[in-house]
Amino acid sequence: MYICNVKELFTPHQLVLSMMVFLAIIFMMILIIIILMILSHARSKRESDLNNRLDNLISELSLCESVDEFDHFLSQHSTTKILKEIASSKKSSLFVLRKISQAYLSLKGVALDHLKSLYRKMDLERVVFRELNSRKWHRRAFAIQVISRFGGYDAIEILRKFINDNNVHVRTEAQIGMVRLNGFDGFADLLDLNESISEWQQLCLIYVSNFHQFNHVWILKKMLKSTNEGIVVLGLKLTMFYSCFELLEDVRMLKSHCSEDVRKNAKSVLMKFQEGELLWN
Amino acid sequence: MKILVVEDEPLMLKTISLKLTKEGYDVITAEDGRSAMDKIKSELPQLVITDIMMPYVSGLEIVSYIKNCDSKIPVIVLSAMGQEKTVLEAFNLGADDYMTKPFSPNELVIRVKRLTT
Repeated sequence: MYICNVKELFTPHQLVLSMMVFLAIIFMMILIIIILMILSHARSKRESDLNNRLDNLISELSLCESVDEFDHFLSQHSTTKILKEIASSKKSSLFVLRKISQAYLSLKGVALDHLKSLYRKMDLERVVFRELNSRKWHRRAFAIQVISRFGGYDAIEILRKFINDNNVHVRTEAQIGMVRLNGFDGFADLLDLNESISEWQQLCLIYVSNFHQFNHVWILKKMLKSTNEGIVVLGLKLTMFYSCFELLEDVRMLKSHCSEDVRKNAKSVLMKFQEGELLWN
Repeated sequence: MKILVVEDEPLMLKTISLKLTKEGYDVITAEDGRSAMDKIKSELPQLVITDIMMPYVSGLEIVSYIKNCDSKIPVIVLSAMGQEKTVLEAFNLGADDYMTKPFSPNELVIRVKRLTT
C-alpha cells in the first residue's frame, strides 16, 4: 500500500535520482571520515615522533657530564635543527615544557642543572609568560608550576601576585612555588592570605619546606598568631614537624582559640611535646 | 653485563638506559611490571632496576618474584615514595638497594657498580 503511494508520488526517474543523491551523501560522509582518520593518524604519528625525539634529546642533554659537553651537544647541527623546529611551534614549545617539568621531579644534580640550562637557552620563559596570561586556570597553574621549578627573572614577584588568586589550583601552585624558591622566607608571604588553606595545601607546603634547612622559628611564631585559621593550623603542623619546643607557650595559648580545628591541632602538638618531656624525664 | 630497567615513564626509562649503555652495560627495558616478569624469564638479566608505582604489577611484586625465583639477581628499587614503610617493605622483600626520586643518574651508576662487582 505504502509502496503504491510512493510510486504515485514520484516518477521512476525521480526515485533513481534521489537514490543516487542518497548514495552520494553516504559516499561523501565515508570519504570525510576517512580523510579525518588519515589526518588524525598523521597528527598522532607526528606527535609520537616529536615525543620520541624530545625524549632522546632531553635524556642525552641531561646526561652530559660537564657544561662544555652540554654546550657542545647543543651546538651540534642535529640538535639546533630540532630546537629551532620546536621553538617555531607553540605546541611543541609547550610539549618541551611539560617534558622538562616532569623530568624535574625525577632528576637531581648535574642532570637537573642541564635541564635548567635548556630552559634558559630555549627561552622557554617566553612561553611560560604567555601561558600565565591565559584565561584558562589550568594553563596558568601549569605556568606557575614551571616558574616555581625553574625560577627565572622575577620569579618570586610573579608568584607573589598569584598567592591570593581566585582559583584554588592557581594559588596553591603559587604558594608552593613561594616556599620552593624562597624556603622558609616564603611562609612570610603567606601570613596574610585571604583564603583559608586546605589540608592538601598544607601537606604540599610541609613537603616542599622539607627541601630547605629549617632556621626560621620567628616565622612559625607569626604563623601561630595569624588571623587566617588555615595558616595557624599550618604553623602548628610545622611546629610539630620540626619539633620547635621553644614555641610551647605560643601553642599553649591556642588551646582557647575560637576555631575547633586550631584547638584540635594545638592539642596534638602539646601531646607530642609532653610525650617528649616524659621520655626526657 | 645485562641490566633490566623497569620504568613506566618513557623519559626516565630512556635516561636511565642511555646512562647505563654509556657506562658499557647491556640494557633491556620494560614499561610495566608484567612485561618485566616476562623479560626476567626470557632475557635472564644480571641486575634489575625497578620503579615501584607501575601498571599491572608493582615494583614490590617484581622484587618478591625475583627473590622467590632466584635470589642471586640484585635489585635496585627506584621510587618517588620515600616513606619508611615502603622502603622497609622493599628491603624485607629482598631489595638490595633503594633510591628515592629525584635521583642523580651518576649516583645510580655508582650503586649499580657496587652491586655488580
